[in-house]
Amino acid sequence: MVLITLITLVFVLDVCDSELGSPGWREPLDCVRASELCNQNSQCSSRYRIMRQCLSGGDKERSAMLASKECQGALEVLQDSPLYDCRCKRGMKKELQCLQNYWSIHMGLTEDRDDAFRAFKRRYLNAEDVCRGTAETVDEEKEPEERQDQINVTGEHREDKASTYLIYSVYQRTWRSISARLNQPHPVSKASLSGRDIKPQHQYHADFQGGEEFYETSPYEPIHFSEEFRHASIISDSSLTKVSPCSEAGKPCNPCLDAAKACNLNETCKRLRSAYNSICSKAVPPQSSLANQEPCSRKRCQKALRQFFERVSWELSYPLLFCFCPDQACAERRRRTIVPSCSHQERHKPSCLELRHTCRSDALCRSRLADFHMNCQMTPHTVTSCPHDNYHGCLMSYVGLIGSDVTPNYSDSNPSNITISLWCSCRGTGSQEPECEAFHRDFTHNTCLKNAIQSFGYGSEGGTLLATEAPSTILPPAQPPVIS
Amino acid sequence: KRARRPKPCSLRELELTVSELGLGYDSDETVLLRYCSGKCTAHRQNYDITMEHMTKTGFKKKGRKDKVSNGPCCRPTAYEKEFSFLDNKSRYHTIQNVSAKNCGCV
Repeated sequence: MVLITLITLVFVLDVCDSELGSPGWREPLDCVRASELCNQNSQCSSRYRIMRQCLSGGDKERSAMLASKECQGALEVLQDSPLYDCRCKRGMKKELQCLQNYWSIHMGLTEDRDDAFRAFKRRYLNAEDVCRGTAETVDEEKEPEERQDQINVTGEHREDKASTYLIYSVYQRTWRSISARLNQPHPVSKASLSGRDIKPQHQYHADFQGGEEFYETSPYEPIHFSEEFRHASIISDSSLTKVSPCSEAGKPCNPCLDAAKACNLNETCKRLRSAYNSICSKAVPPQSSLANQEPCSRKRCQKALRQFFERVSWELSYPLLFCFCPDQACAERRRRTIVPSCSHQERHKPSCLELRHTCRSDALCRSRLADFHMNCQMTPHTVTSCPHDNYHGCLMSYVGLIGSDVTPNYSDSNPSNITISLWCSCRGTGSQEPECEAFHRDFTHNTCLKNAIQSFGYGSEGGTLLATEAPSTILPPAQPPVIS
Repeated sequence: KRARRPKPCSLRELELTVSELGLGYDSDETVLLRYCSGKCTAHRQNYDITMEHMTKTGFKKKGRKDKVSNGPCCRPTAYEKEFSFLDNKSRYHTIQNVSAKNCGCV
């Protein structure tokens, strides 16, 4: 019943939206185009200019600026502009410009959670009141978990791409509103959240310390379950589906070496791999002072890595990174794929929150991180623990982080038990430790990510290989920061 | 029977492991080695005919003992700039000018 009403709501809303002439959800405008459209309208373009000024200052100035009447007014207007719903494509022309346009509005939104919630209500609940008369809304007064369930039930209709996208949009916004509510927990949600097991509470808690939102909405278009991707990974050893690629007797087995071979035999792959390898392993000549001595040029290395993963097709690049390893030598090769000594490690190990902060001050990194959170977020509602069981989406967003300030990597050369981590720690973060841990655990204890990587390495859809972690490891820190 | 026409100078390919290149690196990574091979008879100039004659008798008559190649050679005219690989001790190496890019009779 709930399911039916929600779907009804979704479609009614959609019809409503298109009748009102605002951009449909199915194909969101890209933000470069959206800002062009905005600039053609005098009201929109002047508010857009104001908004950019609101965001120009440093962290502290910015929140003061954003709270001002002028900035709030500009934001109100812009929320009804095409810029509000725009998205970017991965690897598109002018990607950076697109992302900057996206954040020029959404940074204002995320800085003030209550406002985001109000915007959500105004746009999606009131609009619906106007348009229909009967359909039920997502029940505002229900507990967040129940609402989460409602949303997830609808998520099962994923065969239909269009409706998936629709549901996804509602999901994003509802999610935002759930977080908004949790920021000021009312008695019901407070009690219900602390007592439950299994539910990954940190998926909701989205606490807000230091004015930063825990999870942000990805500026990228959702990654659909790519049939092509799915088949290719099965075809790679069709006869051996769900069997280790090393089961062929007598032949020496090293899928990571095979991946290197495949890359070396392809001109583009070989050229770009050689390029990042030589940049990343080249020592920078020591400067006049010894303190300046760096093992490599990190920035150039990361750029070369990004180019490699952007320009080489995933059929060649992913096997290098996610190959299946029978032994330690192989796993060490896999760990070294991205030349971690230069791209991943640093002499100084920052706190994970510092790292996140650095990342969020850069439009590209911020976007890739939000995309990772969106696509690799563990969910208790699917078999694989990935959103929509979409491994492809998770791997793609993981690869998107490589070459950014939050470049993840294998933390050791253990062939069987994969652990991914960032180069950071949460030691000594004091009262922020739970938040810090929660952030890092999305890498270190992420069942979805782990399953996606293992499934790719085996060239199958996983099946028996699903990592099963004790429920306790899915849980966030014992004391979610929500309760204070 | 007609004599088989010799293959002209061209780029050939061979898959090898880095260890097999003979450069002293120990790595099982496979690379594509491109090299130049084939005849250059069609590219002989008057210079080559003269040189062939000179090495046989001409130089001796003039009291010289020089040795000169008596025809164009099939050699790389350009190399692939660089190639990098991971050795069996998990260290990266970059090597230059290992593989031919173009061949010519020079």
